Amino acid sequence: MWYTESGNDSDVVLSSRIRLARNFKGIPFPLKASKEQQEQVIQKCKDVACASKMNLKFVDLNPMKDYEKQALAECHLISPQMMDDSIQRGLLLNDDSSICVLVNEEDHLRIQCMEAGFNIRKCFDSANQVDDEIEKNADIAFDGQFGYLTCCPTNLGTGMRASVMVHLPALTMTRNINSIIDSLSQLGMTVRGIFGEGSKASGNIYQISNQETLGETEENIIERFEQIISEVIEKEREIRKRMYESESYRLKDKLMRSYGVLTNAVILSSSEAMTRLSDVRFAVELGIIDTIDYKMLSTALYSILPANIVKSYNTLDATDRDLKRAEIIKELLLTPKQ
Amino acid sequence: MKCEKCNKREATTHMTKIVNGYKEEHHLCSECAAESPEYSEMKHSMNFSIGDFLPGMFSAAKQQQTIGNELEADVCPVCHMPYSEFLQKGKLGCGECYSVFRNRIKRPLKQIHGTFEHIGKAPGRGGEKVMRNKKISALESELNAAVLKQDFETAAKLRDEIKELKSTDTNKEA
Ligand SMILES: [Zn+2]
Ligand SMILES: [Zn+2]
Repeated sequence: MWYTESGNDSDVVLSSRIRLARNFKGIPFPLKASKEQQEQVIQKCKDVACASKMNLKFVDLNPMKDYEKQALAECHLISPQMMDDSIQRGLLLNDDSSICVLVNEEDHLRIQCMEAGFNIRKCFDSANQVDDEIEKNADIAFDGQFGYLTCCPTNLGTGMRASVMVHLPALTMTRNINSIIDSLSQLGMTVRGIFGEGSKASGNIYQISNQETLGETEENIIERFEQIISEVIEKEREIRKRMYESESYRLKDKLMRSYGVLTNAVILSSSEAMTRLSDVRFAVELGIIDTIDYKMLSTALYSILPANIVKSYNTLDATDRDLKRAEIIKELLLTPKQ
Repeated sequence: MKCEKCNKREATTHMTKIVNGYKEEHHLCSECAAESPEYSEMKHSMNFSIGDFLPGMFSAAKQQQTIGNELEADVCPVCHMPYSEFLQKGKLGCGECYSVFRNRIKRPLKQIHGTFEHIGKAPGRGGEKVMRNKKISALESELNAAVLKQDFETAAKLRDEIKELKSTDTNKEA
């Protein structure tokens, strides 16, 4: 999987993502499309997969069980809206899932490219490449004035959203996060919790994305986004350093206690696991723990989520899941780093 | 009003919360507010996606329709979505909707994005040509301005640029 790679600025940025919204010309958007038209979109995507040099495979979402779809949503491959199966939906996926095209979400296509760490440009390059491959074989809904046409006018123009998932424990613990969120929204950025719209920031992880899609070139949007995120990264690092200098023992104690819990607990709820994992990640980021790497932490973060546990271990009972979760984390954290 | 927590500073943040059907009101100064769990919760749930506010925004624009818009159809001929449905939901039914409702939709677009002119990427088929023509006509008006100002150096540069853009156009079509 893409998140098991290591990336830039991994001490703050977990992952980067570019999403392009596209629609085929002449077919109504999924909500207004008939069953036949929805099928037509899916067929076009299957054709794209066949012709693609990027090794894309089509995955049909409709026959999937709910927990399988939820597991995909937990890994941020699909949006929660895609779990509703009143519409024919699918995905185009490459080998490591770094490229994932959502078919018949709100728009016909949501081209999504993800990378570990801070690497928006690489995401943009692959998204652009996928976009080019698709439009080579199909006419895309585009208007000389409005740009790429999308179901929701907030995505109009470039149809592009850049986003990063960032771990901001120091800004959160020192309560600086609210003013950061304020200034980010003044700069046209949206801040959300790790699980998207309306979700609370669990595990001190936030998703930051651009709001503007119209009236600026992709290049400008990305450049500005990179600048703003770099500033957030610097702020977080600066406050971490100050925290560690001024209360090193107390902080160390707090974080190591979480390490103690995660490596010894027998039962772990997902919310406790998220909080404790944030502490352990913070300890790794500060260099207090050096036996664990970021890939392992990212793997832990995704594999302990409820639907992913059901999917991997077929444990439907909630208590069994909490037992399993403790087992998974213990094993991951105690495996020596390669 | 004094802050209910510290009783010292002036209350500047006023929050209303519904707990089990009862309304709770809180009046806090900015310092105490920043520390209260309700406030940070509110902040996070606020992470406003503009989408939530859209329907209201569009209906407001309805009252301010200008004359030319009466010429626009009320229902999209391709997806059959009436303009009124767009006002309610804030979403469009198909690409053609944008052409059909073009004049009425410009004002809300300007409110969301500050503009309604796309300047980014265009699809290779058809789109690139559209964007090139747009660029050419923008350059042509710059050229006219330069000529009026008798800035012939700039004018010459612009003329070359236009010529080049036009020639790539014919090359592609040939
Ligand atoms: Zn107070
Ligand atoms: Zn339509």
